[in-house]
Amino acid sequence: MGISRVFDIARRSLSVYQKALDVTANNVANSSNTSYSRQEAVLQASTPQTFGGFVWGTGVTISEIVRARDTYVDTQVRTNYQKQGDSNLQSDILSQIEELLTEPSEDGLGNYITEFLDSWSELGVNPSSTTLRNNVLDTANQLSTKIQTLYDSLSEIKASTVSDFNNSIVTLNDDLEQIQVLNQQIYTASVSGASANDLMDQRDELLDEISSIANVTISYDDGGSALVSIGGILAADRTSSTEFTSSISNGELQLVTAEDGQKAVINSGELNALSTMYSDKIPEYLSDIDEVVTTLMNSVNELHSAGYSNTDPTQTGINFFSSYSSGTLTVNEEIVNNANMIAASADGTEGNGDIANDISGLVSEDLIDGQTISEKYSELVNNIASEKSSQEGLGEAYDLVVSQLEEQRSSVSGVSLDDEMTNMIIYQRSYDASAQLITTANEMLQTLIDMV
Amino acid sequence: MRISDAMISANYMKNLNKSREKITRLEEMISTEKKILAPSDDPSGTAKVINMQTKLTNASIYQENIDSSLSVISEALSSMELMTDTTSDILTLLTDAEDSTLSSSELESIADQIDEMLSSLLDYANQEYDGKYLFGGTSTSTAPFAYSSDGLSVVTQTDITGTQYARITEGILQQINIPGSEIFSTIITQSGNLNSTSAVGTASTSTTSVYDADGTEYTLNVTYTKTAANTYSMTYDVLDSDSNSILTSAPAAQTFVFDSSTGKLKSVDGSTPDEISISIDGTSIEFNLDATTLKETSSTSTISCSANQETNIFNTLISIRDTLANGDNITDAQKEAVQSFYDNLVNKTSELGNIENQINNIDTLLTERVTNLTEQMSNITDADLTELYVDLETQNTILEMTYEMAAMVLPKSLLDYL
Repeated sequence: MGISRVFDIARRSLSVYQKALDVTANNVANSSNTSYSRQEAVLQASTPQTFGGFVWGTGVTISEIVRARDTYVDTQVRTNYQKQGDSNLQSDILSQIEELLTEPSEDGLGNYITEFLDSWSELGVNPSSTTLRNNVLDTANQLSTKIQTLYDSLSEIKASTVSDFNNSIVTLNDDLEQIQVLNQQIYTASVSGASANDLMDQRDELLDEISSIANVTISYDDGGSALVSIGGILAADRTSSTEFTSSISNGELQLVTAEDGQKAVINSGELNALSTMYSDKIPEYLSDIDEVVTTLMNSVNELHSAGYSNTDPTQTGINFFSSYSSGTLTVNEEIVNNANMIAASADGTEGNGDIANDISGLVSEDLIDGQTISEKYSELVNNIASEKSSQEGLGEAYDLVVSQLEEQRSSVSGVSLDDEMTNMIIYQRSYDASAQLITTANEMLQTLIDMV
Repeated sequence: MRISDAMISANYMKNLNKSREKITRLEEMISTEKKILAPSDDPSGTAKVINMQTKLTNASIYQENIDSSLSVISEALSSMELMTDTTSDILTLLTDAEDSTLSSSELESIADQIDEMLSSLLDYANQEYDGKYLFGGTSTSTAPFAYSSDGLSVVTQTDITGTQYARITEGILQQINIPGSEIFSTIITQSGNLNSTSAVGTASTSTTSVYDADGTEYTLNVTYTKTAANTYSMTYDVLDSDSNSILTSAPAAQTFVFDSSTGKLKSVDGSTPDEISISIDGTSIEFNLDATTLKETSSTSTISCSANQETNIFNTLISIRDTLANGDNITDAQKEAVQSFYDNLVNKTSELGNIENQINNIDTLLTERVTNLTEQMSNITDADLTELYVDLETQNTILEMTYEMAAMVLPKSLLDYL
C-alpha cells in the first residue's frame, strides 16, 4: 500500500464535505421557504478493500441526500385542511349574511314589521287622520324596501357563491394539471437516479392547496406518483389529469367532470362550503323570509279586505298588499295613490278604527307554527347566528389542530439555522482536516523524494 | 422536539395575532358599549333582544295611543261636565217654574233662559276636538245634531251609536268614547229570553212606548218568530193611539242567530250583534234597539223592553220652552224627562272617568314595562366596561410581553457566537 492511498481518501473526503456543505448551503438558502423540506447528506463509509490480510478503509462517501418529511403528518394535515376550509368559508359567508340582518338593532327587519303593525294601532285611535294614513303607507314602504334589500343582498351572496365555486375550480384544475406534470418529472428523475426532492416539495405544496378546496384522497404508486381522487373520481396521476367544471341541477351546485359531466361527491373543503350555502342554507333562509312576509301579507289582507275605505262612497274588499314574490312586497296601487283607500273602518263610518285595531293586533297573534311573526323572525336570526357560531367554533378548532400539525411538520421538515451552522462547522473542520492530510501526505512524499 | 426557525416565527406570529384579535374585539366592545357585536356572539340572546325590541316598540306606540286617547277623553269629559252643570241649572229653573203663582211674563223669561241653555247643550253635544265630533259615535265628520228643516225639532243627522277603540296593550282594545246615542238618544233595551224548545213558527212579542219629538206617545211592538233551531226573524211595528200602524211599509225582517251552547246572541243578519238604529220615516221617532243581551234558554219565553230615557233631551227642552212661552206650567213628565237625562249623564260621565283611570293605570304599567325591558335588554347587550378595561389591561400586558420576548428570542442564532 502506498502513500497515494492517503491522497485518495483525503481527496474523496474533500469532495464529500464540499457536497455536504452544498446541501447545507441549499438548506440555509431555503430557510425562509415554508414549503421547503430540509435535506440531509447521508454520509457512509465507502466500500473497504482487503489487502494483505487487512481490511483497508477507503474513506467516506454520500450514500444519498434525503428529504426530511413525515408522510403520516402530511395525511393528517390535509384531512384537516379540508375541514378547516369548509368551516372557515361557511363561517365567512354566514358572517356576511349576519351583517345583512343588522341585528340586534332598530334597523332589523323585525323592527320594521313591528313598526308597520304598530302604525295601524295609531291609525285605530284616529282613523280619519290623513297623517296617520300616510304613516301606515310610509311604514309599509319602508318595510317593503327592507325586505327587498335583504332578499336582494341574500340573492347576491348566493350568486357570488357560484362565481367563488368556479374560481376554486379554476385553481383546482390548474393544480391538478401541475401535479400530473410533476408526477411525470419526478418519475423521470427517479428512473435516472437523480434527486427529485425539490420537485416533491413543489408537489406537496400543490397537494396541500387542493386539500383545502375539496375532499381529495391521495395515494402513491410504486413509481412515486401521487394518485389524486376527488369524490370518487380519479383527478390526477402520472399520465393524465381530469378537468372539472360546475353544474347546477335541481338547485344544487355540483362539481362535475368537464368531459362527461360525471358528478363528484363533495362533502368537505371550500367547494362543500359553497355548495352547501348555495343549495341548502341560503334557499332555506330565503324561504323563511318568504314565509314570514307571505303570512304577514295574507293576514293583513284578510282583515283589510273586510274593512271600508274612508272615501265617498266607501269601498270594501280592498287588499292592502297586492302581491309578494321573491322579495318584492307591493302595496296596492290604489292605496299608494290615495291613503284614504286604507280600510280602517269595520262599518264604513269614518271614526271606526276596528279593522286598523285588528291589524295592529296581529303583532301578538300566533300566525306561524304557534309563533308570532316577530318570534318566527327572531327564530330565523337565531338559526343563522347559531349556524355561524357553530361553524366559527369548528373553524377555530380546526385552525388549532392544523397549526399543531403544521408545527409538527415544521419540526421534522423545517430548517434550523443552528443545525445548519453546526453542520457547517463540522463539515468545514472535516474539510480542513482532509486538506491537512493531503499536506501531510505531500510532505511525506517530499521526504521520500529527498532521500533519493 | 426539534425546533426549526419557521416554528419559532410561526408561533410568535400566531400568539401575536391572537393577542391583537382579542384587543381589537375588546376595543370595539368598549367603544360601542355592547357585548353582542353580531348575532352569532349570542344567538339566543339576540333572539330574546329582537322579541324584547318588538315589545318595546309596541309599548312606545301604545303610550302614544294612550296620550291621544286621553286628550280626546279629557275633552269629552269637560264637555260632559259642562252639560251636567247646564242640565243642573235647567232643573233648578224647572223647580222655580213649578210655582203656579208665576206670571206669564215671568214664565216667558224662564223660557228664554231655557232656550239659551238648550243652545249651549246643543253646542256641547256638537263639540269638536281635532276636527272630529266627540259625541257622534264613529261618525266624526258631520255634526251629530241639528235643527230639522222646519226648525221645530232637533234631529240626529248621523249614526251616533259607534264605539271607538284604541289598542293600549297587545291584548287590550280600550273603549275611548261614550257613543252619543248613550247620552242623547233613546235606547230600548230588549231583555229576557226566548224558548229554545218552542216549535218553528212560534212568535214572541214585547211592547213598550216610544215618543216623537213633540212627545206624542206611540206603541212599539217587537216580534221574534222562530224560523229554525236557534234562529229567529225579528220585525217591529209602531202603532198610534188608535192602534193603527204608522209605518208606510213593513220593515225588513232581521235574522237573529243564537249560539246553541251558550244561548248568547251570535249574529244579526250575519254580523256581530250591535245596537239597531231605527228612525221612522215621516215622523221624528228615533230610537236604538239594543238586543245584545237577549238570550235563548230552554225555559218559557219572557221578553221585555225598557228605555233609558223616553224622549230626546233637545226636543223635551223645546217642548218645555214652548210650554213656558205660552204661559203654561210644565208637566211632571217633562221635568222627569230632564231629570232622567241628568241622571244618565252623570252615570256616563263617571263611566268615562273610569275609562280614563283605567287608561292611566295601563300607562303606568307600560312605563314600568319599558323600564324593565330596557333593563333586561341592557343586561343582555350592554358591556360591563369595568370588566372590559381590566381585560384590556391584561391583554395589553400580554402583548407587551410577547413583543419583548420576540425581541429577545427571534434575532438569536448560533451565528451570533461564531
